[in-house]
Amino acid sequence: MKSFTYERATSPEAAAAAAQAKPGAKFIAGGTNLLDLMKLQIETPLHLIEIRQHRATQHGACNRRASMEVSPILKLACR
Amino acid sequence: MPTPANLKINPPTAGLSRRAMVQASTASVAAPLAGCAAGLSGSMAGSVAAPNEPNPVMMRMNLQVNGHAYPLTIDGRTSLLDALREHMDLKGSKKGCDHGQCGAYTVLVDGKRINSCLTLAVMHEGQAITMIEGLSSGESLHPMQAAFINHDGFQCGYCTPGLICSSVGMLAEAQAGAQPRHAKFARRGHSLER
Repeated sequence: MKSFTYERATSPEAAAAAAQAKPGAKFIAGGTNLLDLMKLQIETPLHLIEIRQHRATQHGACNRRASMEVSPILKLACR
Repeated sequence: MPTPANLKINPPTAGLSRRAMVQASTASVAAPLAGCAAGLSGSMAGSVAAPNEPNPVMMRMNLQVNGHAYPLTIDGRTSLLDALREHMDLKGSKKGCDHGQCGAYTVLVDGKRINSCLTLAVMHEGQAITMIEGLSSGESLHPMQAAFINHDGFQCGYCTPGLICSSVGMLAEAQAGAQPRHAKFARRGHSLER
């Protein structure tokens, strides 16, 4: 895996600003897909911006599969 | 009866001694195996940052594992699994495929099961990490550990720490409203066994 620098974004705005300011930056939430590809050097980001704690929507990209399964909103929608 | 005379085979008369032939054939078998091993270590090297890897970015973090604080300064590339095993010497979680398929490395983070091989250690500051070592309290086993023993659930045992952590997480999910309708739900993320 290639080296990278890392930061935990304090807000969605800060995350967006960091992504613009740092060339080769990528967002990381859980890591399941990105780290898998980084191990194989398919992805080689120079900078990682962690956005796990920012949930723009209740069922946005940062949700875990397990939390989707118990979501009352999805249950209602799939009825 | 065989005599030493008729036991003697492949006399070194044809320009190739038996020893030379054994050495040559051993080398021809070993070469692909060595290549295979090199490929394996090459893929493993992606997860455990080698000390001579160029420009490691060292990061300071304070992880809470099994109720204890572990202040670490390690390469930022270190996965949670490698941090636990190689830097805290907690060997309960196992490295299987290291790519999120086998589940042998499942741990609980704030009570939720995750693949510790597919997340960075630095991402889990301030969270409660529980491995198999942290489930029991002293000499008394966690009910899930006792259940695995009582129902002979170990098989080879390598994935078992991950399976037990995953089972504990599954029951918490069920209590939160998920419906474990079949065994597939329970072993989600564990491809090697069962």
